[in-house]
Amino acid sequence: MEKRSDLLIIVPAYNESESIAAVIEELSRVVPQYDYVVVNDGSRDETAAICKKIGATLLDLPANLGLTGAFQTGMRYAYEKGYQCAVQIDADGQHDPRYIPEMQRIMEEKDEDLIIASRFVTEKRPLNARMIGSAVLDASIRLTTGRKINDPTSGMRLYGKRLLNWMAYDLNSSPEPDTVAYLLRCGARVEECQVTMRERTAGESYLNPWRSVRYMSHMCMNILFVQWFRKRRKL
Amino acid sequence: MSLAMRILLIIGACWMLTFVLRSVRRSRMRTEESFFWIAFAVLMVILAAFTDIIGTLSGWIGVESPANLIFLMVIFLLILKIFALDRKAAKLQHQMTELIQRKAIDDAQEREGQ
Repeated sequence: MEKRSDLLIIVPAYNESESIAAVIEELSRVVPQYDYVVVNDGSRDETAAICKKIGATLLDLPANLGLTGAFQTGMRYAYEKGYQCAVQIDADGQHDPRYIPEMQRIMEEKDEDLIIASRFVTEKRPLNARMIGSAVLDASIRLTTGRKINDPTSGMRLYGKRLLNWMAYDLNSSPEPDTVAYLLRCGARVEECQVTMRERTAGESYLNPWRSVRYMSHMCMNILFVQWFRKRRKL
Repeated sequence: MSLAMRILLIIGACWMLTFVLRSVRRSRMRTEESFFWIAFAVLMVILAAFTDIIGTLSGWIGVESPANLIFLMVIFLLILKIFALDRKAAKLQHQMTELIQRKAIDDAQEREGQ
């Protein structure tokens, strides 16, 4: 697939056959100026078949790697094909691609390394059960880096040129809040951009209450006790 | 416990902690594993430095010899770790199997297509 833009949209997909076609259609309609690539993470349903049928650019993983592995595949592709930056869009329809041009503009204008599409820059983050995890992560990141991140779990992040190589090849680079904490400690320039996100339109979320708690405590442990010790790399 | 023994224990535990921290620092381990090993190494240092803790604990629990309690704790942690490793190995094996199977089927389909 010929490279048309400097920005690559990475769509990791696992068992999203119900929503993937709509997501791809929206990308082609709303942001046709950007290249995109779907990374099929060893789906058991027709996700890959649907992508092939509609002619989507597809990286078809022969086995399941999880979100981190799938996303990193997209990053490798981005780096090796010479893209300047890459943004993650989820395959469940929650991320609205119309904010991408704005995110890219901010990144270029202010020479940022990472733009996080955040629901809570101008809107206040609500105090409910769902947002407890987000609040705890925010506090942990602030404790270890001094920086407030209003929406640490937002998956819609634009990674800049200086991060591409590391995100593409490092064994620890993941599209998760603890990586954001690590990057902040490395002196990365991080900015949040106000967006609205939608609810999942179809399919099932991976997170149930128990998994959410495990995920949050895992992330907190990493941010508070592990990212601390890792050698800061020069960006 | 003799002073020499205590010093040896503390040195040993600190050496282990240094080794673990260096591995984490150089990103030779994944963050998931790093937390366990950092916590484990810190625990060893604390127990080595404050040997009375084990003595008091075994008194409370009613364990005959403090050494037994240390054995119990470490063995329990090791069992948990082995269990986790087993799960990880199973996942790796499954991924390998999928990869191999996928390659064979894709090769066959390619040949059929020709």
